[in-house]
This record gives sequence, C-alpha cells and structure tokens, in this order.
Amino acid sequence: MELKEIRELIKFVSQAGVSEVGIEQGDFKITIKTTSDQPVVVHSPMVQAPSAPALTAPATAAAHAAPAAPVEAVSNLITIKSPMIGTFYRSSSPDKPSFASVGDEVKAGKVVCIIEAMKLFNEIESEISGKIVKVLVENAQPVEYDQPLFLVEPA
Amino acid sequence: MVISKEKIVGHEEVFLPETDSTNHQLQMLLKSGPVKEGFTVSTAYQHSGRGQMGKHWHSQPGQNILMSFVLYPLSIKAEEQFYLSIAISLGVYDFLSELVPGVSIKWPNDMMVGNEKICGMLIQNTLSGENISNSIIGLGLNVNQINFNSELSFATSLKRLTAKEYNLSACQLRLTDSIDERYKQLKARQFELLKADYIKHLFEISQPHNFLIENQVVRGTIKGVDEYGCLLVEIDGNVLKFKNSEIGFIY
Repeated sequence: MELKEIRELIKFVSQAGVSEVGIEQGDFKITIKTTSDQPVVVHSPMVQAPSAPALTAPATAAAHAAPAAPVEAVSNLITIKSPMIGTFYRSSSPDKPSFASVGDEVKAGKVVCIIEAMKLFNEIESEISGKIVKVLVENAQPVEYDQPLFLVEPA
Repeated sequence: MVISKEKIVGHEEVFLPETDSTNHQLQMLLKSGPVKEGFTVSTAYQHSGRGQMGKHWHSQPGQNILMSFVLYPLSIKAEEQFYLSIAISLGVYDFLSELVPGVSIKWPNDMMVGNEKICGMLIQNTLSGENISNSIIGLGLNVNQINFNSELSFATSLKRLTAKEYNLSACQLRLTDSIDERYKQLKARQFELLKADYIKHLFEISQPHNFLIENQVVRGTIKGVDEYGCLLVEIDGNVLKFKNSEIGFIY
C-alpha cells in the first residue's frame, strides 16, 4: 500500500464517522482508529516519509502518540525552511505576482520567495518538487534561520 | 575579451548599447545555460535599471558605468553573505579612493563621497539550501554625468568632483581589478581583514549622528557591524544592534 492510499484511507475514516477500520493485504496490515470525535492523525515530525516496514505495525501506536491535532494527515508534507535571517518577500517587487501560492506546483529549482537581509536579495529555490499546501509567513515579515516558510506535498 | 588568466571579475565582458537591466540580462543568461564566473554585462543605458526592491536607478545614456557580473561564491554559506557585500563595497572603495578624497561606505552598501552618493549596488543571490548557487552583482557608478534630477539631489559623479572627463572602459577595467582583489580575499575567507577594512571606511564611523529608530530621533555613534551586517550603534552608553529596516540616517 502506498502512502497516498493510506492518506486517502485516513480521510475516508474521518469522513465516514466509523471508529475503527482494519485492512489486511498479504503481510501488510493497518488499523486506523478514531478517538471520540477526533479522527486519528498520523503525525510524523520527520521530514522524510516513514519507511514501509514501520507502517506494518498497527496504526494504533501512532494514535496514542499523536496529540489531538488538526484534521489533516501531515506525515508526508515537506517544509521549506529559511536558510538565513532576513525579511520574507513573496514577490520580486510590490507590483509583481507571488512566486508561489497555495495550490501551485513547484519543481526543484523553482524560486518560491525572496529573503532580503542588509540589502542582499536572495531568491530561495525549492529543493523538492510538489504542491504548495500552505504559506506559513506573511509577506514582508522577518524570518529566523531555519524557520518554516512553506508546506509542500511532494509529487 | 580575456584580460588575464588570473582575473575572475570582468575577465569576459559583453557590452549592450541599451538594455532593460544588466542584472536581468544576466539572470536570463544564467537560465539559458552555464556562464563563466566573473562574466560581465555592461551597458550605456538601461531603461528599467533596478535599485532595491522596485526602486529605479536613473542614469543618463553613455555617461556612467552600469554593469553586472556573476559570481559563484561557493566558499561562503548563505548565512555569511554579508561578507560578499563587504568585499564588493571595498572593491569599489579601493577604486574610488585612488581618484578622489573623502570616499566612504554608507551602511550597508552605498558608496559616498562626502555626503553625496556616487555608486549604488544591487546584489541578487540564488540560494539552494544553505549554499549560494550564484550571485549577480549590479553596480551603477556615476562617472561623467553632471546633472542629476531633484530626486537624486544627493548624487555626485567623478566628473562633478574632479572636473575631468573619464574613459568609461578604462574606469571599468580598473574597477573590476579592484573588486577582483577583494573577491579573492573573500574566497580565501579572510573575513576578519575584510570586516576590519569595511568598518574603517564606514560613513560617519565614530561620529555622533542622528538616527531614526522606531519613529524617534535618537543620537548615536556608529561603532561597527557584526558578522551578519547588523549596524552597531552606541546610544546612551549601550551598544545596540540594528537591521537595515530598523534604523535610518537623518541629515
């Protein structure tokens, strides 16, 4: 089973209002439980998607570890972080369109924003390909080193 | 045109009689294929000359140096990029100070002679992860222009200062030589030397001056910069750090 399918499954469980769903396919087994009204959130703080063997464990373990969190599977989203301290700009000048907005497909090497520091202007390239899911910083706001800027669903 | 095997900045050059902006031309060139480090685009006139964040750079046709070159500063990290600004500023400083007295660097990167601006720069980096994959350095240096519009009433030129007419290509050659020397210091990571020289030549260093901080006029004295380029200003006996958006000079 692929991550994409698991994500679909979690979405399905949360929308169907059922409390538990178990699926077995050959030697692959997954159980998704909802606790009270909150659907289970598979939440991984790691940037990389978990490797397949980890998923063979029942998902209940994840259910206990995960706090009551927003209804979205964020396990496979990748964060684009700021490589430096500076000011975040979504476009090259006030009258130009944004480099990247929610829903845009970006390719590795595509410029997603500018970070200015001490009048040096830095075009930040995405290192991954995927879809922008969330823009985490407002235009013209200061950013710190390593601060998350965008959430990207990898292609 | 290859001048010297050793020289990086300006070792090869293309001249465009007129263009939108030399930084933009270089950006387009980089997108279309590999470009050698130091490759320079210069022009007599740019109709969309770019300054900082949408500001325009006005220059009369054929009077001034308008050039951009590409660097691949692989030896420095994104976090260390203020040293790039320092190296270029010092290169321009070295060139100018051989021709006129009273040159200084107004933090972070304007070149001054007395209280008037003579050269501006626009540095545009491309970052991939924590590395600077390329850096485009755009310079506009006033050479033979005599009249400036009111918007640029604080501008000057070499000719205004010395009453001499200058050969632009000879000037550009010497300018790129000076920048090249400083760039070599940067590549060798001679950060302390670069920073000390930069601080020594800062506009109004150690002179009490009025600044605008959080909409208040505050008297302070410039002490230097930190490694990120923040300005260190002594106010009422305390040395405080400022980013360029946090402090303004008042004349």
